[in-house]
Amino acid sequence: MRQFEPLTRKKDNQPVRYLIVDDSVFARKSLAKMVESFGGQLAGEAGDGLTAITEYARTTPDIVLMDITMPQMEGIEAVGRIVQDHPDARVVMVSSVGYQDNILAALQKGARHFVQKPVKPDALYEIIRYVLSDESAATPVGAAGESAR
Amino acid sequence: MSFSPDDRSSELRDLFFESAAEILQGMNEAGLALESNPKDTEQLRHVRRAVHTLKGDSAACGLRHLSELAHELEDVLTPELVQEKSGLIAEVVLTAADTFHEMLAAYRSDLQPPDGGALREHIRRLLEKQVTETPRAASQARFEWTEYERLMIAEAFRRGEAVYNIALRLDPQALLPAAAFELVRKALEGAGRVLVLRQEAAGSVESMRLIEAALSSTHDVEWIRKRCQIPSVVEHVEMEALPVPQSAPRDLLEILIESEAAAVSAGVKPPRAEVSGGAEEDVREGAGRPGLAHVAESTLRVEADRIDTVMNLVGELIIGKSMLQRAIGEFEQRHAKDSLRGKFADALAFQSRVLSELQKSVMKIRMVPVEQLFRRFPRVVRDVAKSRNKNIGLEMSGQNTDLDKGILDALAEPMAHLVRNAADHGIETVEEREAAGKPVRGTILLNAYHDGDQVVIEISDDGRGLNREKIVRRAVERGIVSAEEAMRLNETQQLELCFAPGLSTADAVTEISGRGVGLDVVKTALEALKGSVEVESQPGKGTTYRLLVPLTLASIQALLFRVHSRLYAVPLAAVAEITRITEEEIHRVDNHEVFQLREQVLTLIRLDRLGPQPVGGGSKRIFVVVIGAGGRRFGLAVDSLMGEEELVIKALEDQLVTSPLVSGASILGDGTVVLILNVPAVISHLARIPAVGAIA
Repeated sequence: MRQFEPLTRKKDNQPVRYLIVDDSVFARKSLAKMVESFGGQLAGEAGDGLTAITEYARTTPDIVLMDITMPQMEGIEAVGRIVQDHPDARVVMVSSVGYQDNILAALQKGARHFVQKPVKPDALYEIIRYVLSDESAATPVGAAGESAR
Repeated sequence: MSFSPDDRSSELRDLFFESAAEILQGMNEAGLALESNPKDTEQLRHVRRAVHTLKGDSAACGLRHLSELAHELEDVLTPELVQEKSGLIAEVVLTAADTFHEMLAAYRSDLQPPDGGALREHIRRLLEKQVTETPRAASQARFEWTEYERLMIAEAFRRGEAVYNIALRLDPQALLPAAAFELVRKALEGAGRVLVLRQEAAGSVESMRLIEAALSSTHDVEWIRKRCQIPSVVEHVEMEALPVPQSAPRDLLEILIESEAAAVSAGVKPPRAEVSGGAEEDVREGAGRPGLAHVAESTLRVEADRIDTVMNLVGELIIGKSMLQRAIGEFEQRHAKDSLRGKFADALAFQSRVLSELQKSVMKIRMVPVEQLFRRFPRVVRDVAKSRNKNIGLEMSGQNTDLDKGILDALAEPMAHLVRNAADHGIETVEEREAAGKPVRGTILLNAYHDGDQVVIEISDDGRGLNREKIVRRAVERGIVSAEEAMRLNETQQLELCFAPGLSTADAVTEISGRGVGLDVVKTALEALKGSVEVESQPGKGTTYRLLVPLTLASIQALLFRVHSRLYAVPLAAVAEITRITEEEIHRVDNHEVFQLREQVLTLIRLDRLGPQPVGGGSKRIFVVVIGAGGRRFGLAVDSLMGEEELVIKALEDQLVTSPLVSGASILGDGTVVLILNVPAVISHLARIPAVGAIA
């Protein structure tokens, strides 16, 4: 596997903390391994959307990796709720191929990016780096958030 | 993909060659004009339009090589070319005309087309130099903003913001273009104010991958670029800062003047171009197939959702109008002598007129010619013919008939099914046809026409026809009808058994049309569209399937009536007449109530008792609405008639209220809910009653 330069939080240079949400234990473990190879830290895990919401509030992770299809509450709804309560939440959707509509819905509910299963470490690394990069962007007044549609 | 000798979709093909010849003629003339005046941007634009048309048409005809080459050429023919490469243009255009001509000639005689090496070389040279000189030409980004968009940009400048043109090329690996587009949109919105955002959708997959945007932002270029480089979605980003106009406050005015000037200069383009352009139009008009060749420049692509919103609002307005109508009606009754009455009536009449115009215009936006649908079938027929070793020609008529885009899209599947069926099972093999003394070449005819507020699409073949006995036998075997019921059915009804689920008369399941599904899929699809399907067939002569769909799903002119104090409506187009009978005139045959209307005996349906009827006596007079659909007529007993009204159809989403017999509901001006009957479904329900009656 490629050696990744550790990703850190810009604000305090600490390891990036992840919440991994997937109903498959195997998928969680393999994602956890992957983010650890990026120098990250596992803040929490959840096997369904409802737990993800409480776990997010408890652990306040830097990045959430969220599966789309799960029991109890689907990933899309969980994203919506998490982003509603925590607008800064950075959620990356993880999905199997062929769920374009679901991904679109998740993005519209505030997910920051998506990655497709099987997750390739290189792709995920670049995506996380991109998603993290906006924290330095200290949103200049009047520009961000405002959009002419 | 080239035409092969057995491909008989010759009509379309001839048309294509005809219009292509015109296009090449125009290119040759423009090339000559450019030779004498290389700076003539109008001529260049003319060429580009021509190449664009050629690209689209040849793609539609399956001439991939030609289409791809045209596409490549179109991309390098940017307006900047006039400034940068004026010396080369004429040469390129003339070479292109020659190359395309050679390719067309090859296609015409079913030869492998030349690869157009000389033209490719030219394109490569143009591209190479442009890459070094103007990087953005390489990405094919054109940033051709519309007037409105330019106004938006000008306004951003007026606010003192910096404006950037951004071209994003999507990663070809990105499998989810819509999700990718959404990410890009979010990234741009996070970077500033999005003035323009569009994805090139016309043309090939290649150009789908290009997103063009104009953004005003307080961030610097590098920051924005970084935001736009979305991993695993965006492959390449190009940006340019737009120069701040000299006199910012006067921008709006300037742009207006500019566009005016452009319009004027467009009006006085060189006469030669005018003539050739005109000739081109004439030929196409004469051929009567505007969709094939012409891509209008002043088109606007709008999300379907937005039109639906407008449509819904118009629907609400219509309800509002009927509210007003009722209120005024009441006012007139109470104040019969008030002079205000006339004023109200005038105002209402005026409003109604504008409203119906508005409704028509909005509806028109959604309308597209069925040609868009028909166009895909030559290929289907050709492929079937080739694999089954048959000789089949496809003819089309009525392609200009307009139909709601949503309905059109929903028709594609069922129609493809029927066309495949006709080619695969309907048309006989060459030997069979010869033996039967028919022309060797079988014909499938697609036809479309308006009939009242319905659109009829016919798929006919001159093949062997449906085997009615076999259909009936199968239906009995499968328990769809009992043998004695089958005997009672008339010929049309027997034929229509072919639409029953699980019935297929094809002896061998071929890879083409036998996919384990039968014609019931077609019927289901049509019923979902509030339409119906009919079949006519003569052994040895051929089969005609007739698809009937409403012109639009948005509103209908309907007859309102009450049964047991409940309000119903049927489409006015389905109403043949209204009559009155007494209970004494109702007789009972089998499980049906029937009555005689002139010399015809019609089945009577009572909505409150959709099932076997006891015969009532008495001399009570009842209204009967005679309804006809698909050649069959029946009477609907109603308590009272409420008049006719334009109904805005609201879909019944809720499972609880959904019934196949009801196609939708509507709200009247006074808030009453009215159920709209699905006439074909009621008829087919009626046809099933004997079976039900035996059990119940």
